[in-house]
Amino acid sequence: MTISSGGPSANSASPVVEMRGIVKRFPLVLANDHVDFTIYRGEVHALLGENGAGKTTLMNILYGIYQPDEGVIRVRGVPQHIRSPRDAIRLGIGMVHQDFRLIESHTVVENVFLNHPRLGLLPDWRALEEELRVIIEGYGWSIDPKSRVGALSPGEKQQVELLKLLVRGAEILLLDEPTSVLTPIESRMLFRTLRRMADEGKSIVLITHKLNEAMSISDRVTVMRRGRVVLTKLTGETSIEELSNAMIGANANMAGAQPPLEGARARELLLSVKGLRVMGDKGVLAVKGVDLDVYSGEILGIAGVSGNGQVELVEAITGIRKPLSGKILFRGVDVTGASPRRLMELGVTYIPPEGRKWGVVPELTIYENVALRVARYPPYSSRLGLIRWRNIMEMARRVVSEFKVEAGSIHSRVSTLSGGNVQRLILGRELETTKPALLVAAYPTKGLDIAATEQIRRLLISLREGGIGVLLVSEDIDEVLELSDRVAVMFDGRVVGILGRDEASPEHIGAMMSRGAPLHAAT
Amino acid sequence: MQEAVAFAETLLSSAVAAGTIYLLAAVGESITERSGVINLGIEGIMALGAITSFLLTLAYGHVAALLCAAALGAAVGLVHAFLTVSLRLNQVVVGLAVTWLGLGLSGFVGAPEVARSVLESLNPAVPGQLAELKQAPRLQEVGIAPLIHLPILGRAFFAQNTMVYFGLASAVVVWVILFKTRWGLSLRSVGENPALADSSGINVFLVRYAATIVGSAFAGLAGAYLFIGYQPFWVENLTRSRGFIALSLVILASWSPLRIIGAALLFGALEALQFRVPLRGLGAETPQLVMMLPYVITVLTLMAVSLATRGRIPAPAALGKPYTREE
Amino acid sequence: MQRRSGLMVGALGIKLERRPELSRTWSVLVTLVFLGLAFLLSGAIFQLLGYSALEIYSAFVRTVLSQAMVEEIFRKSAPIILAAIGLSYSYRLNFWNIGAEGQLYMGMIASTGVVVLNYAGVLPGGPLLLFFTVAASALAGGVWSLIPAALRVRVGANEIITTLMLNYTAILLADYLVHGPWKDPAGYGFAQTIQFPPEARLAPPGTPEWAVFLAIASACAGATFFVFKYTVYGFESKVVGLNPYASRYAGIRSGSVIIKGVFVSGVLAGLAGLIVAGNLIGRLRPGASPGYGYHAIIAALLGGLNPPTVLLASLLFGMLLTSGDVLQASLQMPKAGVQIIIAMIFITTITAEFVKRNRIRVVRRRGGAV
Repeated sequence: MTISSGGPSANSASPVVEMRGIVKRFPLVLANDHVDFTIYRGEVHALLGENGAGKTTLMNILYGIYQPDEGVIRVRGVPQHIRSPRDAIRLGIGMVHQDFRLIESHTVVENVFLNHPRLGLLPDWRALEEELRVIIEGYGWSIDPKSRVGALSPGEKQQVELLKLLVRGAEILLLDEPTSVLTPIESRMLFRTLRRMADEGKSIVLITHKLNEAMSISDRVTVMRRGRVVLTKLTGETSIEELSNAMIGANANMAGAQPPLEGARARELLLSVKGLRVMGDKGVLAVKGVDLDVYSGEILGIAGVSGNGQVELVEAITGIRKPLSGKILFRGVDVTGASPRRLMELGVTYIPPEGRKWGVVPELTIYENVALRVARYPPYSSRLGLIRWRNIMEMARRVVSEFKVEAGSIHSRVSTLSGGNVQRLILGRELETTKPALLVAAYPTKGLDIAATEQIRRLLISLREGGIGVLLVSEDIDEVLELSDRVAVMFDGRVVGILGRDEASPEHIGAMMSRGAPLHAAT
Repeated sequence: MQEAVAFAETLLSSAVAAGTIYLLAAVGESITERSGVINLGIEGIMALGAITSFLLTLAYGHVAALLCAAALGAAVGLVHAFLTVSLRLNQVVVGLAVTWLGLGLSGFVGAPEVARSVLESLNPAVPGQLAELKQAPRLQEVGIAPLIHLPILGRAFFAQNTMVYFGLASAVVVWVILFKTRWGLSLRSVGENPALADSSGINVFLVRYAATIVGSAFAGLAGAYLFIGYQPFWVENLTRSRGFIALSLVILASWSPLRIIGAALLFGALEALQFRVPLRGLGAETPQLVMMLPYVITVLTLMAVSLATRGRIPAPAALGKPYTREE
Repeated sequence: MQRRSGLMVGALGIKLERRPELSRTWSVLVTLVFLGLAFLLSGAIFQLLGYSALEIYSAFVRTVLSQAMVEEIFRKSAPIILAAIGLSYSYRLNFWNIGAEGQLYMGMIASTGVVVLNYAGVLPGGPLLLFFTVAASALAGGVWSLIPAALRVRVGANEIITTLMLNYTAILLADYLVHGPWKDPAGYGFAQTIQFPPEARLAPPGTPEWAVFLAIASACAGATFFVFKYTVYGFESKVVGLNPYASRYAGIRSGSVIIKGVFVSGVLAGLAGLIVAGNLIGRLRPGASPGYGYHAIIAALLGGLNPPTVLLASLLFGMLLTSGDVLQASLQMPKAGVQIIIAMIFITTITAEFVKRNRIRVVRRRGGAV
């Protein structure tokens, strides 16, 4: 799916932004290693790389969030010292981050014009709303400036973020992984908008780790790996393979690295979900009637843009959230509405998303976190309710060594661990202390570096080999395809379809994610 | 019928008079909380405002008293802001400490011997013994001529002293500022999402400092009004937890100054029933049980509000959380 | 945003950052320095208001060191110790229980009720009476604390306000009873109840009160220390206080953990009430507690919720209160003066926390070269 690209001719106008020799060091890592990066007028430039490649850091430097240790930045030919986002905005540079920086309870117009220099003491809100309407209609959008941001969809929220930049005269727009929260239809709409903006003479930098996107929307593409620029080319003059090699540094095949599922194996029905309806946080129904089965020795992947009820579904299955109606059976036992404690006792364990926030208590030590879920059971405590710290520490040592958690000692606080190590700790703890039959994992590799991501993926596969059932929620289509035996696609609180490995392809899944009709000619 | 109307008039009038205490404190606190800071110290600041207004009225008159009470409140607010915004200490603990300090200081200075010496040092021309009488002249009522003749409402709303008018006016003005102006938008954003406000170029620390200082100044005025406008007799524990009741009023009114007017009137009415309006029968026999009413009702209303919103209270999202600029 | 928290002057700047670990000696040193600062600041206030700080503090020291006063110090500290240790259960859970005073009053009311019933012949006397007073005061305090706990767990009602409101309700209730139905007919018209018979008091006649109190206080502190460190409840309550979501995920029923902890707080506060009504005063009367419950709050926070240090902090309060009485008698200093000192200690201690955990560093500003 390509959108026709106009793009500038390579040797046309002088570059609008030039970054030369940028070096940025953080305590443990060299994030940018003598990076050169150029942006031309009227182009869409994809900045491609894996998590941790340094692309976001580079753009953060351009936006004034960080200061480079070495290097020059020229904007429209003039060397600049961008000390803060305010400087950047004044230069016409704007950034849209992955996490939306909006105030949910305020309206669109209030968010867009927050602390805008033009805003008088008693602003004429109606005039401002009118102004926004003009821009909105110009791009073919449909948001109402008076509506509360909290009521908008992720795609619409992104439009509000763009409005914020446009209204401050941004000519250079930096977008950080913008499609990570969008459905395919919304992504297409975004690309149309970006193309129009480029045609108007604006410059767009698209930070992404998705090859397909980079190929389809950009005029030029730069690949970064481990802090260095590996490649900068006109998109028309390169290919997916070349980009992929540049990103990974080896001739690796991205999709389908898993050995095919073995033939008939004694399969036990572990989890059976029927007609499940679950309420979300905002008083809206998040899960609208889901049927699902998970067998032992398989990985069932749930694909879908985050925010379509996956987390609520998984929380209902693991007892954190009470379902409104429906049934959940584990090994034949009715566990609808059962507590996390009970489910854990029965053999269901949960790896929550953002493990750092929800799965551990960072202020506590490693061994205390290992005991987190099981402190009240033998052998970790006696019948009288006394904790056996010695047993806990032994188990902690075992988890740390077997799962390669890099830490000073088991007495270190978990707050000192990196994201990957926290995730390893959580996985290790769950597998060792609760010995589950069914593992439910939500976005387990999100935000992790490549090494940790690989390790966790391999771990999940090995669990499956060992006969454990895995319910995996992921927003990365490639990851879902790589790991799952079957793929269930969720959209708007419903399972739109369940595909086996052979039927599943990115296009197929993408189509299902967008409007729920299974076989749909890809556009 | 005549009697009922007279009773209603008296009740409403007393409710407005008493309610202004809560109104001033709560409006100030709503500003502070909208910026994300909870100031549990307003009880202590009210006490300080009361003792200040007592001694300063004797020394220099009402205007000086009000100005000093506000200034003192602002100064204490500055300390609170420093501890909670700059040093990022726990807001609950700091607020309680400030309240203790305020209550202790006002109790200390209110003791006859101390009051006397303070008064003498404030204004040697005034005889120190006046302080020992524990009284001060009241704020005069100022009627607003045409409106005072409205039935029932006339006497209630337009025959009060200037602080009452100030309280009502400030509630409206604060509402306008919060919801219609650029400053108010910035302030509310600081309370909802300080990181966003910061990256939008708003000085989060300055806003929170200002909001805390202004809110505390209001609390000081509330204490001053409590004494010279409402009950100009110095007793131990003059404030009687009204500051804390004001805190719950802010929650009840969903942080909106206009709704605070209504809530303050309600609680003013409760107070009036205790003291200003003669009760008959059961009430007279057991005054303590009637005095319990405001506290019990606060608990009940808080429970009702929490039940109604199911924990999804429309509080400013960042309320109570210190802000650190992340690298 | 390279504008870090701190000041930048030219190329150098002062930066505030967290200390990586806390050394014992530094911690203790800072605490002591700030404690001294508290006394200094209060002294300055007293000087300003016309009192000699020197006289006040020397009187304080004399009180603390005098043999006769030691007993009084223990007696006054006892209710604070109990209530403060109880509060550490609440605060550990991040449950801001301001209601110790009310729970203490309910303890007083309940135990007085037992005494009244005994006087009226409804309840038997003898050794059983002590059992009833203990049980009644403990239960009354516990139940009174359950109300805000339940409201918070079920409905999410802010516990600071509910506990505070219930304080006033309890105090007024006591007031009403003392002026009304429980007024001692032979009391010369004073608003007070009949006396507590000796067998209803915690320290039986013949034993030195201070020893009994010390024993009870140490037992409570020791038991609580053990619970916090070595029991499942202690661990789970720590988790609930630190991260409520993680505790839900961990399978901990945070609602029941909170209710249990707050109940214990109430029970201990109620028992403190028994000590006040039974031993310290000997009867119930208006203003029986000069704010023991509130002193307990500060003592608990001062002691960092750690039972042994909470005990020490409570003793400090006992010393301050005792000398406050002495100072009022000898120097005519209002008792509120002690409140000022206490508030100052409070403020400086929390500031000390900050100083302990952070340090100042001078940094060279790193700029982007042009």
